Amino acid sequence: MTSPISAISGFSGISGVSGLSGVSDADSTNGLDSLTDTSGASGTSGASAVQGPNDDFAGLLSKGLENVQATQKKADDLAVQVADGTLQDPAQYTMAANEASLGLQLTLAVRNKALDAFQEIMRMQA
Amino acid sequence: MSTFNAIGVAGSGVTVYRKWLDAVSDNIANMDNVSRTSDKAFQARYVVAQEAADGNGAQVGGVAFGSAQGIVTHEPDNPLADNEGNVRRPDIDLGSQMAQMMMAQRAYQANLSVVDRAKECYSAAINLGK
Repeated sequence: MTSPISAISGFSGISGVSGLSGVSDADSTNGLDSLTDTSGASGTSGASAVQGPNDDFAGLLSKGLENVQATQKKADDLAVQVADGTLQDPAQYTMAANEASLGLQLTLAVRNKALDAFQEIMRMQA
Repeated sequence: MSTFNAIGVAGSGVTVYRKWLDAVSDNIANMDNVSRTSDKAFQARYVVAQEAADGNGAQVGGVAFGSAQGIVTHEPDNPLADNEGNVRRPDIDLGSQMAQMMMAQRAYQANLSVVDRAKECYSAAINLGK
């Protein structure tokens, strides 16, 4: 699926953010193409075509969220260890806290992007 | 391979060098131990660093021990001396331990710098998406 917004396809270059690499696929023109295909004919096949990538994106998103949840739990556990004095290496806690914070920022960035895309599509009705 | 892998990899390095620092401080603390010639001398601890099993970073593979023989010195007035007036002291060189401590300290700091830099890079990538 070639994207007309080809400059943005470089977004998948951030492959370290593995949970995200599906973003360019999922909310790109995949669904829109099928909509224009079915504009003259039955809308149901278009709807099911939209359904596929949406499922995929939802799956990626929930997997990413689970990941973030895991890093935050790790940071929480280490914070408890700091409190009861069983932590051997303080750097472990600060690094885990950093990782959790980055994960949350990434989640927020993805969520805001998804919301922006949704609102953009809603504005198209007018 | 997690999302922010560089932080985890550098973190494993931090742990390895922290353990090396622990070993050095143990060696320095026990440097002046004296034991009977019939017993073993305190054996210096040396951590064995190796690549992590999953290929992400480093880990401590085990601990190697220094000489149990130690250095036999003649100290007739030491309460632990044997009939010939000899005692056993650990074979630990303070200069070598200090050098190891500096290496461990600098490497620990280097790994933390990597964590810091990786955090900046990831933040930049996230800000790009905003």
